[in-house]
Amino acid sequence: MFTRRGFLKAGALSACSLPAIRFAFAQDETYLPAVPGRPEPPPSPYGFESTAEEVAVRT
Amino acid sequence: MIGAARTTEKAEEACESVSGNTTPIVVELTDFETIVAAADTVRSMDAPLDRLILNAGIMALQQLEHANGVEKQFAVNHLGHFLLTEHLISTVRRARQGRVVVVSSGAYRWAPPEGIQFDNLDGVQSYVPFTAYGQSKLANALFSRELARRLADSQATSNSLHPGVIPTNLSRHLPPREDDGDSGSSMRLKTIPQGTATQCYLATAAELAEVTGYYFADCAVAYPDERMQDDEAAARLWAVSEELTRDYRYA
Repeated sequence: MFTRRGFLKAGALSACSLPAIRFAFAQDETYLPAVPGRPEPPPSPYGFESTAEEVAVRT
Repeated sequence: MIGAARTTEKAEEACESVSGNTTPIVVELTDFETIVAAADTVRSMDAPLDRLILNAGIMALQQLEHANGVEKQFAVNHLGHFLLTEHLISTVRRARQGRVVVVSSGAYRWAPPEGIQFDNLDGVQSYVPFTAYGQSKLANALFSRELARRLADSQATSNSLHPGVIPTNLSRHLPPREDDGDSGSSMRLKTIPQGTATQCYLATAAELAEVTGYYFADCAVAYPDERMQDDEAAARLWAVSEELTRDYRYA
């Protein structure tokens, strides 16, 4: 049984997660290059948890 | 390294936090006079500008505010950076391989479904804080895309990025919320070093020397929706931005 506080919290969390859900599922895998003929970005060795320090060490 | 901030004290503090030769300068993005003065200072150094990183911003002002005739988030996040770039792009072009790095955000998705509302840049017709923020972030990316096209005849590049959700004072305009210790909604937060990684990657990675006009997230190319690939809107944004800054443009 939801309390009023729990109900409000659940609603707030749902609202907060909407952009993330939209972001996750709305990725459009087609991309029109802004400057045709230029190379596409190569695969990156980094990920979500990479830090500026890790980038600096490698570059 | 030139460190820009809204006050001399903040710029000096930022510069003192890194090693090497640094120059603090004051740039208040709502004050076009300071932008012009700062750009004059940089150009007077008579050196090419290898990297121009545009990362200042404000988010989700709860009440509609204006600066230079437009909604304040659009003014700070886009228009101020546009004018600064316009004044400095000649020095970026002079670099061996200059790069402009524009900090946009995944929050561009909160922009109006039709894209930038050119008939509502002052927010008077309607104002929703996060929608206006999203619109300003969409403007960042469209600006970068158009800039990449305009730099195509040079070695210089322009790319935009989503840094991630980071606990900084960017959220200072949000209303205080009750913190009951449940961190479930914060699981995807990045630390500040993680949040700065993508812009450092774009600024330094040798393998990106010829990559231009793209949008990145988590140090990798990301594929935004069609609003961020709208070249007609990007060209219109550029023209409108020129008009809005016409009294301060670089001669």
